[in-house]
Amino acid sequence: MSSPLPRPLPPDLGCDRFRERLHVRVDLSADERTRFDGHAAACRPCARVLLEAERLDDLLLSWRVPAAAARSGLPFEERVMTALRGDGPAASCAEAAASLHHYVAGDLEPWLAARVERHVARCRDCADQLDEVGHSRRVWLGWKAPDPPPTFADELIRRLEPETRAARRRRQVVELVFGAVRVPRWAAAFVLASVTLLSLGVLKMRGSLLPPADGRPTALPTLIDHGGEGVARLGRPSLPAIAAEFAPVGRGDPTGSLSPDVRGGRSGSLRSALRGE
Amino acid sequence: MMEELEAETLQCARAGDLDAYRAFVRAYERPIHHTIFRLVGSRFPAEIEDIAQDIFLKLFRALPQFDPARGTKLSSWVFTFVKNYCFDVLKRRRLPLVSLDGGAEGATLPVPARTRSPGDELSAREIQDAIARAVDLLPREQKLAFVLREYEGLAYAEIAEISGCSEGTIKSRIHRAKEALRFRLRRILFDVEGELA
Repeated sequence: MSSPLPRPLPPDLGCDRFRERLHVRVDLSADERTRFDGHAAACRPCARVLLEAERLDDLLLSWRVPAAAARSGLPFEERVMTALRGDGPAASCAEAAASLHHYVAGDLEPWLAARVERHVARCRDCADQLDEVGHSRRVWLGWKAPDPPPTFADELIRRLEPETRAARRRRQVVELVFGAVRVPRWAAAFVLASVTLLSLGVLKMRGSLLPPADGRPTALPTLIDHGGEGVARLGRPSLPAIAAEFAPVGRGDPTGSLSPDVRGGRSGSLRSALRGE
Repeated sequence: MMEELEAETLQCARAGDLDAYRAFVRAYERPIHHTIFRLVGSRFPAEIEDIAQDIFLKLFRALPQFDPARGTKLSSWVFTFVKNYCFDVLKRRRLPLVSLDGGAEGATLPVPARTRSPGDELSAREIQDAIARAVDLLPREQKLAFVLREYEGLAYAEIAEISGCSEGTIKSRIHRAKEALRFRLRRILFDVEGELA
C-alpha cells in the first residue's frame, strides 16, 4: 500500500478572519486551527496579538474573581467582562508610563487600554502624567501647515504640457517606424544594436584591407605566411627580418635552425622544415 | 487624510494622461505640502511650493515605474519620494542635523522673543512657532515618523515601509519623539490652554 500523500497547505486565513477567531481559538476544528496557526506563523502583527491574548489568558487564570462578583450569580462571561472593566489586573507604573502616548493616541488594544485605565484610576502620579500627555498632544496637533495655492495643480500641468507633447511626438514617430512590426522593445533594441555593431565591423574591415595612399601597410597581417608569397606581394619584410626584429636580446636569431630556403621565404612550407624534412 | 485614487485614474496617469495626473495632484497636493512644511518648511517657508512642484514633476516622470501589482500602496510610494527629496534638501543645504543618539534630547526651546509677564498669554503665532521649533529639533528619522503618524495618519506598517525599517523601530521612534516634544513644550503647555479652547 502506498503511503498517503501529504495534505496540501491550507490557504491563508487572512488577518480579519484570524482576529475574529482569536477569542474562540480553543473551540476551532483541527483544520481551522492549522490555518489559524499557519497565519500566526506568517503574519507578525497577528502573532503579536495572539501573544497578547495568551498573556491576557494567563493573567485571567492567575486572577481570582472578587468575592462580590463571584457571589453575584452572573454568568461567567459577564463576570469576566465586569471584572475587566472594574477590578481586573491593572498595569504597573512602568507599564502605564510606557503606554501613555499610545493610549492617548488610541493605539492600544482594548484590553491593554483597560489595564492602563485601571492603573491610572488608582495612581495619582500616573494620572497627572496622563493629563500632561493628553494636553501636549492637543498642543502639537494644533500646529497648522499652510495649504497649497488653489492654482497649484493647474500651474503644474501647464509646466508638464510641453514635456508630454514631445513624448507623444516621439511615440508617434516610433509607432510610424515600427508600427507594422509588433515586436517587444528589448528585441527591437537588440536587433538595432546588432546591426549597428555589424556595420561598424564591416566598415573597419574594409578600411584595413584597402591599400593606403602612400603604399605602406598600416598594420601587419599574419606573421607566418605559408610560402611567403603574400608577404612578397604586399612588399612586406621577409620572415627572418621580422623574426630578427622580434628576437629577444642576447639569444641570437630564432630562425637560425631553419634552412636557408625557409629563412628566405622561398621554401614550400614552414611545417615541413619544422618536421626536419 | 488622503483620498485614495481610483485604479483607472492611476492607470491613465501612469500612461501620461495629464487629466488623470491632475486628479492625482489634487489628491496628494495637500498632504505633500503639509509634510514638506513640517519636515523642512519651518527653515525654508518660501520654498515649499518650489519643492512641491519639483516632487510632483519627478513623480510624473517616475509614475510609469510604479507597479500596484507589487503590493506597494501608492501613498507609501509617494511619501517615500517626499522623504528622499526633503532629506536631500536638508543635506544639500548643509543644515545642522540632530544626531539619532538623541544629543538634543535635553535641549529646551528658546524663550519667545516677546518679553512676557507671567499672566500674559502666548499669541497663536508664538505657539505655532514654538511647536515648529520643537519639532525641528527632533532627529530627522524621528521627525519623519512623528509627522507621518500624527499629522498624516499613516499606519505604522506604512511608515515602516517608507523609512525602510521595522514597525517596532517606528513605534519606538514615535514614542521618543513624543516624549521629547512633551518635555520641550512643557514650558508653554499651561499657557496654551486658553488659546486652544
